Amino acid sequence: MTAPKGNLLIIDDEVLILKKSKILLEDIADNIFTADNGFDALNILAKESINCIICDINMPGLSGIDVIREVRKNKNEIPFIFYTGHGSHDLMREAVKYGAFDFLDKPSLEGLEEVARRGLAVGLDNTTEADTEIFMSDYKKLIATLKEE
Amino acid sequence: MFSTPNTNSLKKALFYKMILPYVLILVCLMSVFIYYQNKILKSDDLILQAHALSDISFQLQINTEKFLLSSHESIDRKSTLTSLKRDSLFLNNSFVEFENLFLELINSPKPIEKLNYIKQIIKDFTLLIANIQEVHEANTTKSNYTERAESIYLASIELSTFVNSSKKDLMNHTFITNIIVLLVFCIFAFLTTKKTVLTVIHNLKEVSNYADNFSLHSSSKLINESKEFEEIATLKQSIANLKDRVQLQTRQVQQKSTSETIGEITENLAHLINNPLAIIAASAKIILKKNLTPEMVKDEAESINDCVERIMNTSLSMKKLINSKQKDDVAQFNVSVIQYGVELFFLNKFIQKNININFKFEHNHFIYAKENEILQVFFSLIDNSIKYLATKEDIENSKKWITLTSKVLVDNEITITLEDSGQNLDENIIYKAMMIQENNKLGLYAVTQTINNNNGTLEFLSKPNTKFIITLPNKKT
Repeated sequence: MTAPKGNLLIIDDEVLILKKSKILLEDIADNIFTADNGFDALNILAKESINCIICDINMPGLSGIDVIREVRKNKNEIPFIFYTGHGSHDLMREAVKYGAFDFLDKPSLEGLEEVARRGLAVGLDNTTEADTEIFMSDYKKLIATLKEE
Repeated sequence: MFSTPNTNSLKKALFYKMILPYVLILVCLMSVFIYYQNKILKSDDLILQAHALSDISFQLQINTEKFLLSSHESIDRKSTLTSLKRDSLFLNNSFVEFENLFLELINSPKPIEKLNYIKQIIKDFTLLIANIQEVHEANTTKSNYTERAESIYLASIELSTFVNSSKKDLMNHTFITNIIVLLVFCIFAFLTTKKTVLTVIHNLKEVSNYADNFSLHSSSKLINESKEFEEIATLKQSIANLKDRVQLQTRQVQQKSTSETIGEITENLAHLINNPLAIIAASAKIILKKNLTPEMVKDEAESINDCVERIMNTSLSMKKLINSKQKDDVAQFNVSVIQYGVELFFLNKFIQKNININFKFEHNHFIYAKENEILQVFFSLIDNSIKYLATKEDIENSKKWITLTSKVLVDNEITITLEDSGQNLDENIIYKAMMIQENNKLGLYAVTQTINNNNGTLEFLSKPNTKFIITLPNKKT
């Protein structure tokens, strides 16, 4: 049994980028989900267990900043990697405020794989910690119930 | 304008306004006065007549009494008779003179009663005269003479009494008439004097003021007129300055926007260049790292080719846009230049604001104008549309759009319509929003001016959608 790699979500309004990124990163993730807009991305997040997100900033509808804001509202500390060609310092500062994991500039693909790998690992750890907390809580409840009996 | 008063017209006005009415009133009053004066004189005459008649009657009464009392043979009787005759004759002769008096008395109140008196007196006088004549001629005494004398005596007393009372009435009448005339005259004199004095004072004051303020008034009025003229001139100058300023600002905007356009375009390069480059890079990496089938390699190569084409188009658009910025001459250019420019300039904003941009341009449509100016016009109009649509929360994101359409309706004209999804927009809002000239955007005035300068027209429709219809020449005429 191999160790879990984690699930990756890529968000970009450029469909070809989604397609190529999926091919390039298919080896480092268990599953790669893609969304060409922020609304679809939030839907996927609600349904799937995602460990890391690669997101463009400048998109129609919900921007990358809007997406991270919505995610953080739900107390989800999932790593966000911003892959953008915009390079606006203001947007980067805004992203850091919401706990962005890393930034990568388009069109360079250098380091994307590495950063995504780290993001997935952190995301998995977060998930494990969360799962452990849930397990411990359930265990304590079980012990308490047994004692009463 | 201030004018010097005309002396003749002033004299005329003075005559008609001041002198003539007073002269007319004075004539009327004098007529009344003369009428009453005549009446008074007539009354005085009548009074004198009545007085004389009274005297004669009294004398006649005395003489008659004397005559009656005297003995028939005495000298006194004869002399008395002579006096009596003389008085009677005088009275008789004076009867004509007293006629006016009698007529006046007849016309006075209670005429019938007085008429009877008069009739009686006339009758008595006639008889007396006849009797006296008879006595005088016959020089004898007749029995009826005494009776007649007594009758005359009594009539004389009555006549005297009547005349005296009439005289009294006449005197009262005259006195009252005099008082009335005097009062009327006094009132008139008072009023006339008062009015004249006031008018004279007023006119003197006016003349004095006019004389005092002549130079000041005229000069101040001239100064005011001059100020007004100056204000108009200043206003005209301000408008001219404003127009120059707007034109200068427009020119500055057009020139300035060359660099600012490049700045704006840089923002869009992420999507226009970096994205295709990223795809190319990804494809290249896939080809290098993955073991691909020839079909997959072909797909990647096609992707690379598409992206290269996209980058080339962007580069071409940018080149065209920058070139257009340097084109100040009127020339023919394809409508696609507008499309390249708008895409380069606004693509990022369209994405951010979720606005779909549609171009319905025919490739064989041309515009004959200053390219850079026309581009600036479309940039300003589209920028305004984006700003408006971005603020409209009632329009769904999927329904936000801007469409540019080119049509050739007339042989030498092209119509480019810019329509957006803003609906039933108040024209005032559009105009208010567009009147503001910003650093990198032309105001509506400048837009209209620019279109007009390029021999075109700009029409605005607010229903059903916000629409700007720009008509321009499409070739050199």
